[in-house]
Amino acid sequence: MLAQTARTSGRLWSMTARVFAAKGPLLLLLFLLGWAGYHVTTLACGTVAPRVPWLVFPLMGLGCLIQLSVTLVAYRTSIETAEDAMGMVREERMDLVSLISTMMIPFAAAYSAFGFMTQYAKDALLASDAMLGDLAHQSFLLAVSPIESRRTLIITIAAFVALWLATRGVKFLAEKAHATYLSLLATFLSSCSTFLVLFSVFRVYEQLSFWARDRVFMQWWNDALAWAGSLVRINLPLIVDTGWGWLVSTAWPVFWSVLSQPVLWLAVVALVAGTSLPAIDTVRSAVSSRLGSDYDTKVATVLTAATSERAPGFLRKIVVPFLHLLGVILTAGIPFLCALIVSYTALEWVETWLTYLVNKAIGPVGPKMVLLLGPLQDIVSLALAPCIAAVLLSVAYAQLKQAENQAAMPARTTVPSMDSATSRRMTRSPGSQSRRIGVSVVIVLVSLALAIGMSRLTPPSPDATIEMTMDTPAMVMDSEITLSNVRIGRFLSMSSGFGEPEILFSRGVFVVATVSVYADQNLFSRADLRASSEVYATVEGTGSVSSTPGFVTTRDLVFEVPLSSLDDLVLRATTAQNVTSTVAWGTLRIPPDTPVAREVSASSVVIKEGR
Amino acid sequence: MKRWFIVGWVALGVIAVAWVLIIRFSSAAWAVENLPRVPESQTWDTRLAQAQLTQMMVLEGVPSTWGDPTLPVEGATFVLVTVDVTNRVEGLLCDLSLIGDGREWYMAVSAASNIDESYLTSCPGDDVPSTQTITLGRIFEVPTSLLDELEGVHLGVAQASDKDTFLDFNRPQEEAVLTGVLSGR
Repeated sequence: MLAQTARTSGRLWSMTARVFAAKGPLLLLLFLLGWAGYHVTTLACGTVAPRVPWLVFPLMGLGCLIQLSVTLVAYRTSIETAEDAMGMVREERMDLVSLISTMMIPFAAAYSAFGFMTQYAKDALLASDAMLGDLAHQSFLLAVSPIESRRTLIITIAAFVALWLATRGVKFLAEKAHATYLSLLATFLSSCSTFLVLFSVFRVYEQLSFWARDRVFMQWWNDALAWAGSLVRINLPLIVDTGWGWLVSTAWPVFWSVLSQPVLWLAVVALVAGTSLPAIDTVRSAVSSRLGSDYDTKVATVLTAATSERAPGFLRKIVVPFLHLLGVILTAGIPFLCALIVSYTALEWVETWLTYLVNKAIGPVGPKMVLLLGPLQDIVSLALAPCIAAVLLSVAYAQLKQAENQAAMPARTTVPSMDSATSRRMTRSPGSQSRRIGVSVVIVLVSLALAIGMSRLTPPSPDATIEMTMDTPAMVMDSEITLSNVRIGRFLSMSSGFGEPEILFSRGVFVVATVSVYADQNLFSRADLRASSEVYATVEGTGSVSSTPGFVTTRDLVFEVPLSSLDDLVLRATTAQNVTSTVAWGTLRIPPDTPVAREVSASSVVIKEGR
Repeated sequence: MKRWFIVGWVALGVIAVAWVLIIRFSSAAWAVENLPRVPESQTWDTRLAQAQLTQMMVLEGVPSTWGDPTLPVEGATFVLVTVDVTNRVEGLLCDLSLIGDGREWYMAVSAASNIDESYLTSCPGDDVPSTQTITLGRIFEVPTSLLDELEGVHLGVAQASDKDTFLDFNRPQEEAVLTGVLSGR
């Protein structure tokens, strides 16, 4: 089995290389067009968002349609090339427009589940700030938020109902008239309503979670946990918190990103390939044989209803085939699944590192260049990596299909043509069976370790570092920053420029530094203090210095850190803009022998001086 | 197929060029360079308002009603700008900043009404009927070393709607740089 896993992986990659060599330039062009469409629509959304907020939804729908179309064309091209390369007979497939129309919703759902839509929306908001100035995105968010006003809520509901009805109506007309442009229009309307729902649901969900966090029952829940813990003398709230934290930050990302993603995308690719649903009797007998004969009638009833012509199109054309394909993939055998998961994770790992290298090569850029070069930062994640992933998944699909075909054929003629290997399998002893299970477990564990290891081996930050020395100005991106007068104390005398200073006491220590910033433009500089892996923000909370062109702006920054961290303190400062990408950090290592005074003073007054 | 392949690459090239041009001529980072310039002593005439830069002068200090005059910080100078604005629509909103060689100063440091009571800090919105002329006055603090670079004022105007907030100053409907010559040095 070990050899089979290695062979499957080898075949997967060698065939991927063959398909890529045959159709790589075309596939890359398609994904580059999708990438360009993404950024053009993002820019258009950003420009119109604060002015005509409701226009954002059709624009994002259009962007999604562009993405969907080029990706589907690329998927189909690579599937056909993979099938040809493997000498398979092509299935009869629906035309491209019908495919786009059918695949829109599962495709949007898959993209949404893996964070594409969120990133798309975020990029649109960033583009809004970049095109129209700071805070521009806020007026868009306020304008389309259904919880801001009753009027917006009514508009949102009315728009959703209108879009839903229009989609149904246009789809009906498209089916009647067999008009491809109507199918595309229905797809477009459907994607608009998807974005509308995403925004609305997001807002309503956010509001509900805020509401829930403030309720008395949260206190009841905590009290109940504390009471239950006290019965067995353990800190149950802490255990629940830690367990939940582990689940959310470790277990779920591994399950979702590492294990589920390749399987789900392969199912989507199989849907694109137009894999037909096997005869209802085949699925029914397979399911009932697993569940037992008692379920036969119930399963038959449910499956017949779900696949009958009267069932909703989405259920019949998407949900049932998708679940079936998922089942086929998950039962494809350990070698195939392990090869798929490890290969997909390896590809993602390469993507992450290539993105890092691109960001490193672009380096820190000022406000005028950041948007110009912005699209290059995700060229790997939006064009190159999806292109190779499409080929990899198409090849995996073709191999799965080929294996299924081969398995189905001997099922009728197995006994007469059984080869020696199959014969050996039939006569396998119980000992060899347990050895086989043992090998399977080892392969699964090794594959999991490989996949998790790769997903954890993330690149460092691409941000540049400029080492600074005390009292010496350093150019950090577009600002000249000077760090000086670092002092440490247990008490802090904080003056605001009016009245008596306020005296604060720390269980750790206060670290105060004076920062001066000179810039030629209106910029914000921010600072933080690092101690090993911890990052401390300033006591005031923002730590930013707003600079006016031609002025040196000086202020004190105050941090509070544990006493034990004094050996490894690094003060960092950078220049931020609203569309910041890779930045440069000026870093100043605070000497470990800096004396700790009883009291240090700081001022919240910002001093400005012309230069 | 080959033809479509070439068309695709050409489309990509066109999008790349369009991208650069759109960013260069429409984005906020390049906004100051892209604003239309109104020559000195000419009137900016638009759908919403008429405006003219009437003075841009250096001030030693700004008189204060409570005590000593307010003085600029070390290395800086106060610059008073006044703009006559005639609104053509009701509910006109205005925003004013100082421009010089790609730089922009937003914050007014002292009320211009301390110089002349008739100077208003901003357009009065709904408080005046259309076609009334007001004088907008602002005092900016500018590094003395950059006085030679000053070019004029950036005036943005918008018509207020029912739901307008301060955020609307972020997106004026019409804007231009009214150029002028610095006096009083």
